This record gives sequence, C-alpha cells and structure tokens, in this order.
Amino acid sequence: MQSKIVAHDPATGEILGICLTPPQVMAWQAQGLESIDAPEEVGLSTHRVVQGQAVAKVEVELIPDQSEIIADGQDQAVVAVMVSGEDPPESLEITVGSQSETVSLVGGVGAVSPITALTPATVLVGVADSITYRCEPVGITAVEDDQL
Amino acid sequence: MTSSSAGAQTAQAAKAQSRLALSKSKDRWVVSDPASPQAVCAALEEADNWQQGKKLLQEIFTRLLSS
Repeated sequence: MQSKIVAHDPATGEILGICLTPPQVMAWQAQGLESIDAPEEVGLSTHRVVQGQAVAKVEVELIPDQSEIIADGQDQAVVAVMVSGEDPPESLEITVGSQSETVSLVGGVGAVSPITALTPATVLVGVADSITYRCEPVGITAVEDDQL
Repeated sequence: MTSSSAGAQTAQAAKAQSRLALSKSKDRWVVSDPASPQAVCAALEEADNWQQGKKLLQEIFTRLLSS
C-alpha cells in the first residue's frame, strides 16, 4: 500500500496538505507545518492528526425533521444531532446560520432548538469544530406563507 | 429570462439574505427580515406599553426608509 505525507498544523491537528513526494515537505516546514507519513485512505476532510497519528474525524449526522418550513413564525424545523463513536461528548457546538448553540447530548444524541422564520430564507446548520468532527451541513429553507 | 434580469434577481436575493437577522426567542431560532411586515407585527406584539411601541415604530420606519 502506498503511503502519503500529510502536513498538519501542530496546534490544532488540522490536515492542511497531502502529497506523495518529499520536496513539498520542505515548503510545509517553512510555513510552520509538521508532516507525518499516513496511510492512503487519509484525506483532508476525513482525518486529523492527534499525537503524531492520523485519525478519522468523528462523524456527526444532522437530521432535520423537515428541510422546508413555512415562513409564518409558527412552522418549525428541528434538527437532530447524532454523534457516532463509542465515547461521544456530552455536548456539541452547532452553528445555526451565523450563530451557534451548544447542544446537550445523551448517548451522542441531541437536538438543536427549533428553527422558525418570519421571512423566506435559508439557514445552514453545521458543526462548529470542523477539525475534530466530520459533518455534512443541512439547510432549512423557509418559504413564503401564501395565506399572508 | 435574460441573463441581466437573472443577475438582478440574484443580486436582489443576495441583498435580501444579507439583511436577515437570526435571533433566539423563547428557545427557538427565528429568522426575520427586520423590515418585513411580519417582523414589524411581531415586534409590535412584543411591546408592553405605548412608549415601547412608539420607539419600535420609529425603529421600524427608519429601517424601512433605509432598506
């Protein structure tokens, strides 16, 4: 199996570059990054570096009960949060649009506060810590209330 | 639809999206356009007294005139 060289920020463990040939390593070192050898499956969006080892990011699933709501201030969407793994955290910071909310988890499961809208808009919900966690953001779209 | 009118619509949608406010009220996230009629009604419903209502109306008209 062919291995890769991955560059990471030593402070955060975030993987910032992947290459197959050594010359790139010197350029990374000049930028203050550290490099390690890693297996082929390691990717920028799927792994991070912890104590000199490439490890898979913890997978977080965001599941909305509905992705489209009526912009009437009453209709609401609730996004469930599911953290995989054997030792999930007790809480997780979730971004809601430009803001964030700390969601309490029980057994890795929790829910973001309901999202409502008074005007048509799309709100993106995601995970704040994208270095530790791997998550596909979900969009909640509020559409015009025809009765107004 | 011409490309210029599509571009204008996209710009208008982007402008509308950029002035949206996201706030938390009664443990719920609420997306609103502060200048929209719905947000105006919601803000007035929150008012407890005439002074507060008057202040809100002034804010609302200022926003409407600047939007």
